[in-house]
Amino acid sequence: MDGMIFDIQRFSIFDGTGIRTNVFFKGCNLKCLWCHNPESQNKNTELMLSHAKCIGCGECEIFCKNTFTNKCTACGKCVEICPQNARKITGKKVTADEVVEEVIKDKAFYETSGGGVTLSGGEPLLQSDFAAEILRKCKEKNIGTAIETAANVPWKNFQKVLPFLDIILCDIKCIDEVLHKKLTGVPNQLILDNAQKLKSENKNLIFRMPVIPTLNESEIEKVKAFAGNTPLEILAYHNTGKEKYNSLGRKYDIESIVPPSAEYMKEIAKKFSCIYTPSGL
Amino acid sequence: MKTLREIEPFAFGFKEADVSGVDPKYERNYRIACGFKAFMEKCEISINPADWFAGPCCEFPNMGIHYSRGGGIESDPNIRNNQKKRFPYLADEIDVLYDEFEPIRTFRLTGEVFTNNHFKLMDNNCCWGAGSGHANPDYEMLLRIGTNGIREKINLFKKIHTDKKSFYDSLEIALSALEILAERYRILAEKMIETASENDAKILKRIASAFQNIPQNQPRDFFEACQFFWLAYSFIDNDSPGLFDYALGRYYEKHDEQDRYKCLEKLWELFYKVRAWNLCIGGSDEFYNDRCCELTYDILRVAREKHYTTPNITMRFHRNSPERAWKEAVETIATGIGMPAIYNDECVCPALEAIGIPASDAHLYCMNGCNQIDIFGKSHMGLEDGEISVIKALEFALFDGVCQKCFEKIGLSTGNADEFDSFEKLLNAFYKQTDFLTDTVVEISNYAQRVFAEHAPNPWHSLVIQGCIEKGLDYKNRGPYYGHAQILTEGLPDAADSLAAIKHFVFDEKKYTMSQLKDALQSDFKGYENMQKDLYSYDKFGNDIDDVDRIYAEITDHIYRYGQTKSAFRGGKFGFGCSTFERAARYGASVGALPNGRHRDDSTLADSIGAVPGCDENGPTALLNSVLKANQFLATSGNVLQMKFQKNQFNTPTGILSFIALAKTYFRLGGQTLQVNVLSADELKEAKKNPEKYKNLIVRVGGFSDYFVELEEGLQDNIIKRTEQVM
Repeated sequence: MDGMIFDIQRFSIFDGTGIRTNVFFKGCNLKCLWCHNPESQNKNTELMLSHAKCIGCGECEIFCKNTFTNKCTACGKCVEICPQNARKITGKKVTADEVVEEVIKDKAFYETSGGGVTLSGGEPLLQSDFAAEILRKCKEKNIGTAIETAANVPWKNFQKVLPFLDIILCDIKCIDEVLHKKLTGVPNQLILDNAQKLKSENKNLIFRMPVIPTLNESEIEKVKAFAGNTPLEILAYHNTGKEKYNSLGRKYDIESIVPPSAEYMKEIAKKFSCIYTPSGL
Repeated sequence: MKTLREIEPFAFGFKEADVSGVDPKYERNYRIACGFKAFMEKCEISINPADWFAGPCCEFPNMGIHYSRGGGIESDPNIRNNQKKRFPYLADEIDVLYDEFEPIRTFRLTGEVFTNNHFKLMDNNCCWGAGSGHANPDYEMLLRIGTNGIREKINLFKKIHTDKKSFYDSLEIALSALEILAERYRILAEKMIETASENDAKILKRIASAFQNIPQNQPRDFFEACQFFWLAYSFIDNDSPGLFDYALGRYYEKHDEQDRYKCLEKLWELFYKVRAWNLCIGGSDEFYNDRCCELTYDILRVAREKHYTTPNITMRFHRNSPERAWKEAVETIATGIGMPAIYNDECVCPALEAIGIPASDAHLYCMNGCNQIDIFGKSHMGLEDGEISVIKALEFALFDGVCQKCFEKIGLSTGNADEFDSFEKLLNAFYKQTDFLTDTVVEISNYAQRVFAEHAPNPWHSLVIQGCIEKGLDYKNRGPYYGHAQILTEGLPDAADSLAAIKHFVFDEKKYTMSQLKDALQSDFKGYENMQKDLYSYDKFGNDIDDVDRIYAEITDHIYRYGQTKSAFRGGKFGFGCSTFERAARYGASVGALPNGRHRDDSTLADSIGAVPGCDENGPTALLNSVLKANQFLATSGNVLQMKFQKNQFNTPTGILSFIALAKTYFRLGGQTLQVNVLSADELKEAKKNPEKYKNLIVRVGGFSDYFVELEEGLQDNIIKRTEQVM
């Protein structure tokens, strides 16, 4: 079985316990304003251009008129032509076996640190059969497993992966439905229903809330109330993904928002009894 | 006005030694010992009470003609001219004296072996050899038994080796030199007390009182231990302190907590002042019992607080290392001093056992100089006997021995590469070239070793390195228990990447012919831009990609094992290791364009055993896995792996814990050492632009620490380029 991913990142340490390998699935049905992986949203391959490397020589345009128009099929030919190596195609069809083969390379590091694999994205549960197969194969090889999900999928998708999961990181962006739609493009009833069901699964469940100054801070208290006894981890907004919007020829809509300081995050964490893990960013 | 005799005490002690009755076999030993003694009797001494400890710390080249650990008898033109400048009224007499010493100047003698081709090989950075540097005296023994104990040892073995009386006589003279110096300091301290301020007098009294006991006897407390250590350490040359916590820990345990830390701070300031080399802490005994003590942790504390670039600190780890040791080591690294370098007993000790060193001694390993492995107080091996450029060997294999910088045939003839019809044939030619470079280093190094043994014996090291007194043999003449020689490789990962690319494009895919490749290299890829792109973007070592990693492992195996078939004059074999450090840029500038896609004018070479800068894109675990595919147990000279982490990310508890897990896993899988820089590339770029604003930015360049702004541009770029590992 194969699926579409856009990256496999080894030595990830902020998405679950210990040293982990993150597998980033491509395709998401949310479109959060602050998304730091904009290339994860579209489920198909896409062309990305590094503006820092591009010298504007025009070789690519002579070759193909569709570059960065909606006619671009991300065929990848301009990537080969570019003398500056400024272009790349994001997104790759891979088999579950290929993913597991990559994941298993760091098994020794997982063993020492209590780590494993984390399926992230994008939304891994939009490719739940593919996700389930990777997780099952990892479990067979005694590798710890985790998933990071926005939970905006039918419950049956969860049911496919739950038997093979140790850790579930489930995002709750906000509780207010109108606000949710404004920030992510979708309502949150399904998300909250799923999150509620996850609470009764006997898993290591952690809710995660990105804190985006001026956009969803007012919701922290409500999210905490929703989480109840389930641990809630707050994540600080950061703008390191900004350049990626540029590379995709897209606009970054929240340019003016300033990332919160670690001190501020610590303060909120204390006030609402949340977990805050400084990432050093 | 000083006389020649006063400014050249060693020379006159040496010249005027009474050698009647001295066995001619040991005349040189005897004269050098007399030179030592004369020097210690007459050299200018002073005590600065603010230092707390007294020691000569003689400054080269103001010592005049002298004996040094690295250069034997030194009387070269620099020293001569310096003396003439200082004492112009003695110029003529100085010339006569130095002319007299010229025939026995050690480096002149070691240089006699060099042929024209040797010079060309060295000028073009193909190889280098004949160094004779560091030593790790047995300070543990010296402090424990004192000079009285050493004298007893001499007397005991003198009775056994009845044919070597003159050898032992010279040792006794060298030993008395230390006692004479100590006594001079005692007298000076007592004299200074009379006019000193109240505070200074307190310290001077302490020094004077210490010298009533040491160096003849074991120190009574940590202050005396430090004073004894400092006197002996600065007596001959300021080298590596060695297993410092092992040697001094017992005195530390029993001493008042505040005072002992103050002593340590003071000694640390002195270490920094003389740029002490390598100080090694922690580790295990042969049964893997941990050796960390209070002194171990306070050394880390003083390193964090003082933030000095020297001494280089090495910390040893093993299966029973306490969590506190890991935690404090990483906290120290996190301050940005790039220290301690961490070593794995479970790799180093078995590697040493494999070349015949028993476990009990293998577990006494420490570092000398930057990172060369030595056995504390028992070996003459912790130094660089030579270097070979592995990437140059590949250039020779491709161009039939012709250097692509000087365009002369200075390598071996291994045939026209155009006619190689398989990758194996190329590999075979490459191995012939690496063997040739190794043979060259072995030849010139062994010659130098013999010259040192014959013309520049070292009575002081013979006293404090075990085996010499016992066997009746000088330190330079196979006296120490272990005498393995050491060669370092340069550009090994670059060669692996290059070979992998050639294999793929020339032999497997046949996209380019060998002749096209050679043309492209010689024209620095002009007109071959697509080929350069292909070569450059092909799989690189350091990303956990089996095909290229396997080549890296194979060539490491061949080169390292070949070294172990070569005998060293000092006894033992030639062991290999890899630590490039600041030499990368120099070796890199000495090769033409490379088959890994590197341009001719780019001086970049991989740092030590790590990936070529900018080529490891899969993160630290991938890099470690790649490195681990080569057998690190063969690397008896140290296989350095440098990693750079972003500073801010290292300062999070999650980051620290994951680094510890990373290092532990690397060690569990047989990795030898990790040296970690905690820096951001932006910080470094900024520093490069505005050096004056970043004068205090410490960079760990391998076992050698320096200030970033002091480094040459090529190396600055190299460090910036080295992939920033994302934590």
